[in-house]
Amino acid sequence: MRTRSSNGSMPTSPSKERLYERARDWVSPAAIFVVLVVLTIYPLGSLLLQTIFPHLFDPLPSLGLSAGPLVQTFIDSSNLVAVLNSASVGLSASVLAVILGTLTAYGVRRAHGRWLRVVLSTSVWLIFFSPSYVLAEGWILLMQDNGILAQLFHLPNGWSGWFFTRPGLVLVMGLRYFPFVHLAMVPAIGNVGEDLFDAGRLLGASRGRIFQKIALPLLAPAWLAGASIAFAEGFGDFGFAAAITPQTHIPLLSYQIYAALSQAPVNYSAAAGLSLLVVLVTAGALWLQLWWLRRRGAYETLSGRSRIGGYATSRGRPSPATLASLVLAAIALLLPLGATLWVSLFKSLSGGLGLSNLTLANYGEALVAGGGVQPLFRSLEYALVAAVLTALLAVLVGYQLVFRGSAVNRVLNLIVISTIAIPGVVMAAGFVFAWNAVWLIPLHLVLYGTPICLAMAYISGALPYAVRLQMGAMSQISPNLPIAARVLGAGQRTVLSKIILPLVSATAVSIFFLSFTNVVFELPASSLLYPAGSPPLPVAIQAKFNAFEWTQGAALTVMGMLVILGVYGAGSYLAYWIEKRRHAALMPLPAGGSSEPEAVVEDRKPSVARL
Amino acid sequence: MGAELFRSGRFVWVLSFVVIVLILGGCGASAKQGSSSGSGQLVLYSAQGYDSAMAKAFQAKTGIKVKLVDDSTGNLVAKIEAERSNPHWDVAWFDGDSTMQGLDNQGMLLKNVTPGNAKNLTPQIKSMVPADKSYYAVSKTAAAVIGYNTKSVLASQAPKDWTDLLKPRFKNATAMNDPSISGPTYPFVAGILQTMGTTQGKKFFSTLKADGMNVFPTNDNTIKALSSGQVKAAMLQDTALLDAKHSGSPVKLVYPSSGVFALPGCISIDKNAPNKAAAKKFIDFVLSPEGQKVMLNPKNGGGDSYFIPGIKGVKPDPGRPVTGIKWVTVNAKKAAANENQIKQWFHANITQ
Repeated sequence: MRTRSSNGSMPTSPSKERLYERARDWVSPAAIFVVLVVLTIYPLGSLLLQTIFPHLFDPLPSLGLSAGPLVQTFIDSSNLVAVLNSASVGLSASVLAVILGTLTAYGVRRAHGRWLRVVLSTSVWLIFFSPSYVLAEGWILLMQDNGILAQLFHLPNGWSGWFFTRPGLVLVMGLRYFPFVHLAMVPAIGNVGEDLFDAGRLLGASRGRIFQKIALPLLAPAWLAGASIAFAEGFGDFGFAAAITPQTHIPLLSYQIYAALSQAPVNYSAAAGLSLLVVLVTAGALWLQLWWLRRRGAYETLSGRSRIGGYATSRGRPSPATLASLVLAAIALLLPLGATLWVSLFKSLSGGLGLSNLTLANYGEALVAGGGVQPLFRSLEYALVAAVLTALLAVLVGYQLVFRGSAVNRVLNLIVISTIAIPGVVMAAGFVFAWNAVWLIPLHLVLYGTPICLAMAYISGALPYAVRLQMGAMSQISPNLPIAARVLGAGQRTVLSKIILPLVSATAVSIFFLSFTNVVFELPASSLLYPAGSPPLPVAIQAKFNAFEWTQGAALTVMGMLVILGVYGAGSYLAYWIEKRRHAALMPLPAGGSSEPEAVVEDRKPSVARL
Repeated sequence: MGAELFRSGRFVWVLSFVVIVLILGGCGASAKQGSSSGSGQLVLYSAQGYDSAMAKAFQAKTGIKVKLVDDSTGNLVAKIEAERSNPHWDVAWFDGDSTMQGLDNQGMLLKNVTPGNAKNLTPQIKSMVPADKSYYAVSKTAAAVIGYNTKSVLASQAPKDWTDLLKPRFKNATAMNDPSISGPTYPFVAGILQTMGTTQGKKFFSTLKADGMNVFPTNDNTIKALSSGQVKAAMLQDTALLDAKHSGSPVKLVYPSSGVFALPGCISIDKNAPNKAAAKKFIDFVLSPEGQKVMLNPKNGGGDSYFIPGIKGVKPDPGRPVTGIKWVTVNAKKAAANENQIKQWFHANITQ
């Protein structure tokens, strides 16, 4: 039997099964490969190829090679300065984000009572929901000469000069990006489990030593997940720098890209060359992280025996972390909501702060006469579709990369994640090139101009964040869990749906909201890719701002935020309930629970973090 | 039961089902929209505040369905350039003849367009239509004037000409937009270099910068800085300042005595437009008194409605100054040819 099957002339049933099993194992990586190509690699490639084929998308396409734009990008010394500036801003912002995000994550974990936790996490989410322009606006209103703080405390003109320079920019970015770290940290802290700390304490380790030897190594994946997003965001920022430092212009890489886009004719090959630089730097930073993580070995916290740490329950004085988080939360609440809500209620922008200048008319005007209702519903539909698909894809892609990563996959992954730092408008232009290409016409595949193309761009935009966060969560799962399941005969699909998915469902829910929020306020792709005549919400808001209808624009923004808040309220209840169920399920089960994955690995030696 | 659902994988199927229903719903809705174009359709790319009202009025008059893409000029041009091998638009409409000239230089515009209503054009607007008739000027605003905050500048101290902004009282208190980001700002910079001469013009901007001028990306930031008193004076498109003034901001306008630069609203047809006949009808409508009246209503166009009409026999909105303005026409061909070079100079020396 064996010989016959090995020469392949007549495979017998067990090896046929194995072949089938093998083929099935290759189906999902291949499918994910195709999805990543369609969503990211092909659009990005269409853009980047123009650095060497500048005439690829001319009315008469040609494959004429030209190294000009590429050489130009790398020899222009102002680009080097811009890269260094962007990198230093991104790095400082990510360090600040890590500090603040860790603080609030501990604040939430240590908070006494559910209501305090709800207030704290909702505030962090509020920052997260707020479109960047709302936050920039809030900061300027607060800090400028004659601004809110100046009026409250009678500060002289020029008191806030320091704020409108690089340190202020980093501060604003840190306060913008810390939710990424927070979101990665909250489940991670919970997963570490108290027993390791107890063991450390029993052995007489000091608090500093426990932090250094236990907390730091175990939490590193979550830290790096948040920090890498903060770095990429800061590295690719355009809006904050433009708003906060108009007088002390910091030459950033993103500015160079925008300048290339506003050249006449639009210099897409220069923009592509600069974007290539963005991808290289971000991918380099990510690769360094992953290399560092691998070098020091894996520290898994989720295994068959882990005791999941709960929230603080004991009564008493709130911890310093909680108090500090409350202060941060107050700023978080006041800034985005305060500034925007306020403007949305103004009769006139300069009519003063009195009650006589307040009205609700902007809402009626923006929604009914201004035609804001349809865009709002359109964006909700896009958001729902994109968020569900992104959350699912992130689980699948993350699983491939963490547990079954091939070299090809890892490179793909780096490329996908490094697109975070590419300005949205450039990525959106890549989508126009890719999905409006002439070679798609005979295939009837010109998706540009259809709702599908916009939805694809939304998913492509949210996917890097989602995958990075999901990888952070999954790298805490002991590889022994899926291996044990495989040994006991479970297929990939079973492993994924019965072991991985339940363990990362809280992160998946976070990713759902992250993507949902992204879509509701995502401007660059929306404006470049929306089907003619059917604008989504961000386009409708921007149209109000372009026409200087700030009060109506603010009213639409508040409506969008309220809707997200409503969905979040419903969803966080769901997440709470899922996590409660998960905790219950993770406890060792009595006999009869053999269908539970945790029970399956009961008898195996659990992996404990190597200290 | 829910966690059970999650674990069993059925959750995934339920979600997939919901998503598929939503996608089908979305496609159905868009297909319905597509098929309702009984008497033809028109895809309009426009940056004008009154475009939506014009689309509705034109549709009501002709029955031609207008599909509008409204965006800033910069984004529209980026989109048009990205689509260039397979264009989706019929008509493009935004302020700035040098930008439109740039599209014409690449051969993207339909030439020799001769709408019947072109006979209505006023002489100055007519002079801005290029010889190849690839686009039409249909309105006129000033690329920049000086706006000052009436709370921080006395009327007697108000600037009268561009160079008055160099006076010590405006130190650290002026602002303008970045021509590399904001559409109407490049024609203003080109205009200053044309009237003052290149050397003097560059010196003008360099001195302002040395005196602490703010360079904001777009109108939005600059208007807010001026209205809030963060700066005392700003150089901006007049329609933006008029809008701020009429909506109650403490802002007054000065049309500098040495002249302001005419910024025409320009409209053109895609060389490969699938709906050329409808596109020509639309331009005729824009050049008709009926169309211009829709554009001139601030209720339709906000600040953009405070323009000087492009055709004879139509009066501008009473809220917009008409007299005592010295208009200077910027050479669009020359401005388009020097655009990148001047923007680069501005970025290297003024913005940063």
